[in-house]
Amino acid sequence: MTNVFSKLFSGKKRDIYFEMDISPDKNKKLKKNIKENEKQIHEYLYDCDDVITRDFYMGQMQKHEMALMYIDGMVNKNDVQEQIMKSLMLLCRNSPLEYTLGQNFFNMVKEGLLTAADVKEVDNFGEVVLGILSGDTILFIDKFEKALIISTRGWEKRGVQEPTTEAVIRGPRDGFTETYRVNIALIRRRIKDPNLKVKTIKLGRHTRTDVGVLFIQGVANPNIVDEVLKRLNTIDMAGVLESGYIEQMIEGDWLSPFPQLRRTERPDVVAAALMEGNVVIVTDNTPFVLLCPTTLLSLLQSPEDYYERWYIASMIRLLRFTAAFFAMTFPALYIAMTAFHPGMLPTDLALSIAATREGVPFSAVVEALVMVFSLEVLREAGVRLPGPIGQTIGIVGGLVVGEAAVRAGIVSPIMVIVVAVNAISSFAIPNYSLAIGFRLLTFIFIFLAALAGLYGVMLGLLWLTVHLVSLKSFGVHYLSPFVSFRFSEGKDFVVRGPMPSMEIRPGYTRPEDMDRINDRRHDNMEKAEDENADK
Amino acid sequence: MLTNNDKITVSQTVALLITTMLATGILALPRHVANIAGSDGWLLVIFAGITAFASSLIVGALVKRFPQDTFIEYSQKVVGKAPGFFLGIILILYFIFLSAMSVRVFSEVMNAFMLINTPRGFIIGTMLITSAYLMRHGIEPIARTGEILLPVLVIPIFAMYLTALPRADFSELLPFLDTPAKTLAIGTVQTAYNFLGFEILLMVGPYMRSPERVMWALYFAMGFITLMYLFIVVIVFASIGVEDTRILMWPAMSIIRTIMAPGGVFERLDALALALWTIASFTTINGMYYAGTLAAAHLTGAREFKFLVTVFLPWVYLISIIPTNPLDTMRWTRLSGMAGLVTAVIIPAIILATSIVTKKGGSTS
Repeated sequence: MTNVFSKLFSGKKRDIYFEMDISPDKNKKLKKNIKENEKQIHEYLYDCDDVITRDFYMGQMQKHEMALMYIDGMVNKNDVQEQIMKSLMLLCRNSPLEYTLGQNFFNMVKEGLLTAADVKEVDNFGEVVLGILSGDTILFIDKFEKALIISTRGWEKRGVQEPTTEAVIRGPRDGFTETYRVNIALIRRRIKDPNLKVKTIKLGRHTRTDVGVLFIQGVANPNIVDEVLKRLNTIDMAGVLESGYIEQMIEGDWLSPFPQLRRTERPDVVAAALMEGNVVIVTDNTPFVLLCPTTLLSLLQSPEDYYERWYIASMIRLLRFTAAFFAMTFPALYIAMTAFHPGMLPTDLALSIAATREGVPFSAVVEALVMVFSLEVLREAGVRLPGPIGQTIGIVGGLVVGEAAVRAGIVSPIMVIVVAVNAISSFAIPNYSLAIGFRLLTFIFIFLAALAGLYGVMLGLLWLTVHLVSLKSFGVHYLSPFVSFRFSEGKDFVVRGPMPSMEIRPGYTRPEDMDRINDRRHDNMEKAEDENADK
Repeated sequence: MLTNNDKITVSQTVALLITTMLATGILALPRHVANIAGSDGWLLVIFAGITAFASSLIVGALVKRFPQDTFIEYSQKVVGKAPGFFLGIILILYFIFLSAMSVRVFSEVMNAFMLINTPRGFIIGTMLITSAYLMRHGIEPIARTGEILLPVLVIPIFAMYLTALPRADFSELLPFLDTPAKTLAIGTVQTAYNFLGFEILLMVGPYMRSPERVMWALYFAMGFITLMYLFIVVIVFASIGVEDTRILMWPAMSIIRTIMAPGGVFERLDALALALWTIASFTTINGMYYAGTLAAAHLTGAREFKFLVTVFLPWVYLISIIPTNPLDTMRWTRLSGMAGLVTAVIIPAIILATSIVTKKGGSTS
């Protein structure tokens, strides 16, 4: 079936992109003459008015011709002035330069004169142009077939702020930003281990987005790392603007309503995932970082599960499981009960439901669809509107629509309760993509319940089970550890065991190194006892 | 081979066996044993369990003897090409027939208790399509489904029947041993078909990761099922009495209708019970249907396993709608019991005996 779909959607494969090389070749070497180099660069970047070229001469005799190229706004101008121009033009003007240095002059500039921190030597146009476009400054020196890429990247960027989509009561408040290096640094700050590897590739023909693959060597399963790199390398698209592009290109089953990669804005979540053997994909220009492989259980977890004490964490986890179930089925169960099996409800309850439904012109199904639909619209509207107006939407939605609809006799109050419980349950799921997936399923379950009552709901649940059982994320069972359950993993499962007892890492990624926590609390005591015995 | 090379673990085999054996038939089992042996009916469950266990050991022995082959292959090795082929066809027909009967009994229960006006074609059709959807994923997802659904199924069933305990009167189980031995013996054989399902091992055996531990799977699965059936029959007898059990079509279901859930959330538990029996039937149909398709795939040497799933779908449906009414269905299930006796006990016994005599299999493989 997948084949049919891909044939339907992809159309003819357009080879034209492969022929039309939008960036200069790495094999095209730099020339000796500085003017020729400049001309060539301008040919590549013609009509790019934001490219700045600055020619200048260096030394007491003003004999050495040099040129700087960069893009206005992408570089930190202060750095360019202080670290490059000042040191080359002013600081070394009076120092006696050996004009006979020859080839060593280039190295002298690179190693002896520039005060910038990050300097790289290149000899081809491909890297030069990419460097300019990435916000670096290029220094050309006349009579040399080489150039220097000086890292001066600096643009207006958002600082590290508290992530808005994954707030916690207890836990660090920093979240990822839109800048790749900052994000990598946030992760590195948490894991000071030389085994934390960062492999950067560039994706997107136009965007050349930096995409980093992070994993801890010796923990992450090499098969998963290879699989991730393999899938990333198959991506050939015009642009990668957000990690969602990558997610959709590398997920296994795109017919599934469930997210097969986890996304997070929190560096602490990423660090925890790395230590569970996950592979992390960091994309430039977005605070959302992808974690793979993903299991349903990990999507239902919040970092607080590990920061809180285990009773509380376990209780909250159980609550979330219940919420996940209700987020899918609550309206459907209500419809099935009232429309098909009213005898199952206690008589008093059945009577009171019947009483509230009196005068409602629609069947329970239509009622539920209307309410769930308006709730989705409200949610969507609330997301789009700015904060202060967003609250107004809450009042309009909750009071005006809900209350008025009941007063007008369009929906019954019980239905408002049912839909409200359903919505609140879905908001209790930490992962937004998963919650949306569940809300999508709500509609399907409503239809099934309308079709065949509880049997329909059961059929839906069976289909869901079959789907989840066969779903895999990067070769890992989506439902693990529910399937192939091992008791040792049970401590981090529906309940989260006491911290000292979680001696091994979760096994779903088949990590190479299973040790997580060594319980050494009694070591000292034993030592003390031994010493006492000696005395 | 075929769809995939995936193998299943021992615990998955246990789950697969239990969920395949645990079927809607249990709802009628108390009536069946009450009619034969009255208050000694629960003894029949134990005897039938032991009998079924003994016959399952034959299947287990075959799996151990031919750890690489399914029944289709080793029957041809043992008794020759043509007779083996014939036996293979019998096995396919049997599995298809049994899956048709399971889905039919399920639809009868549904029509009797939950969806009174829903056409049975709808229930049977949707159930079979769901099953076929799972089939297409191969053995490992089927076993994993069993593994996940087993606790979902078993724990609520026990909990549900336990709520009947406060009103149970265990004097209903008396008089004890009032039935003649001959009746008990015949009744045991007649009851044993409720334990059918273990014969899927004839086909699934080589897909086990460690076939040498098949006996463990059988001990565990058969013991568990026997205890569970015994528990339900005893609870039914004690709750509504042997005489009432005799006249009710689905006594195990009827007592659930009389249970008031603690806390008063639900008036009756029958919807929950039917949800559970939906799972139970689903897994039973899966086991039988899968074994049937697998047998056909092995017999014909077909590459496309998924295609056969679809091919069998209309046939299972057509067989399942043959009985005209619930009583007719009961007669047909008894027929399937006889068929089970032949296919699950007699044929494997013959094959095993022949292979021992001719010294085929075992150490060679």
